[in-house]
Amino acid sequence: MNDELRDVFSKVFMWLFVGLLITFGMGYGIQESTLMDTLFSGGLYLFVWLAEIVIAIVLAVRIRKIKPLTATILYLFYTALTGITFATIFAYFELGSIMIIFGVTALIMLLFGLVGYFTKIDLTKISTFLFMGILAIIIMSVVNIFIGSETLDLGLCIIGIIIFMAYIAFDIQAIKRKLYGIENQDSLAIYGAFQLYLDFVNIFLDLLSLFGNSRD
Amino acid sequence: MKKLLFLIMVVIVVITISLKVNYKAHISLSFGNNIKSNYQYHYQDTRPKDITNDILDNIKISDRYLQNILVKADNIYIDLNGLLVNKNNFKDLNKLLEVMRKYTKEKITIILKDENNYDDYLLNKWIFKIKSNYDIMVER
Repeated sequence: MNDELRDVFSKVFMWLFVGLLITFGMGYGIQESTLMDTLFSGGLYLFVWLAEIVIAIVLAVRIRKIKPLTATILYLFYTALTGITFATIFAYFELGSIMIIFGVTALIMLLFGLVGYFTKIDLTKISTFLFMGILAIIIMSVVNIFIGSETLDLGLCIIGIIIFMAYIAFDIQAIKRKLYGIENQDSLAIYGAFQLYLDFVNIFLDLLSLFGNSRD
Repeated sequence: MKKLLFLIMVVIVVITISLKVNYKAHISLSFGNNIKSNYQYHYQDTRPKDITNDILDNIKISDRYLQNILVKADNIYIDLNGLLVNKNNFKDLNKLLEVMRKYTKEKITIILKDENNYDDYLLNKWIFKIKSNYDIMVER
């Protein structure tokens, strides 16, 4: 690994760690505090979700134009907003269960990250299939709101885990090969961290949905 | 509560989709009087990147950065302003176009400026050739 690449990857993983720390820290903190009732009673969730979507789109479209500092602030703000919604997870699932699944997700990230880094296979070839996969997940998830099938829910979680495992490898290779077309190292690090953060959160939620023990 | 969790998952997948989409952008390439020794490209508003690492000698683009922004590009502009009209430059330009075509099917626009001697026989012959082979639009 050359110095430039080492520098980029160390920043990527540092921001990924910081992002996850903020999200899970805020989620736990809010659940333990009196803020939880306020969140459930008000329509704050809608605002949070809307803000999250706007930040993600702004980062995706403007990452090559905005300053690295702006990108960093947006990313950190996003992780904090996700932390607010994660309070629900801490309220619903046992803390031990959350911790175990967090550890398992981290191991998956490490394993597929290594695959993405060392593989000689050009993973851009599968990116279209992966993207179609997440589109299918979202469509089927919406359909399942009306059907309410637990089997379909289970299937979607399993497919989701497989897709995001592959996305981890893809994103690591994309950072290594500078596939995002971002020249500034700091912006690339934030963008890469954001991509991996989303892969992590998606796998975590799918695993939690499959194996998490609820407090009830 | 379970429904709220489900909604959280759906929203995060939607956000992920918005980030995984390949947002396309235009790129432009410009040269000095010689393609091999002075070859730059601009990608959106980023600074020009000098890529003189024997790209054309290898026939294929070895710079993955350029290769991948070509994949993402929706408009490619090749500015011939200042390029000397000679056989070698056109030979190199043809190689470059051939390589670019491998990575993008989008429209490539060749820009000719006043400084280019476009009455030149060689230049017109080349334009005629690339227009039929590459579906390239010539702007004058």
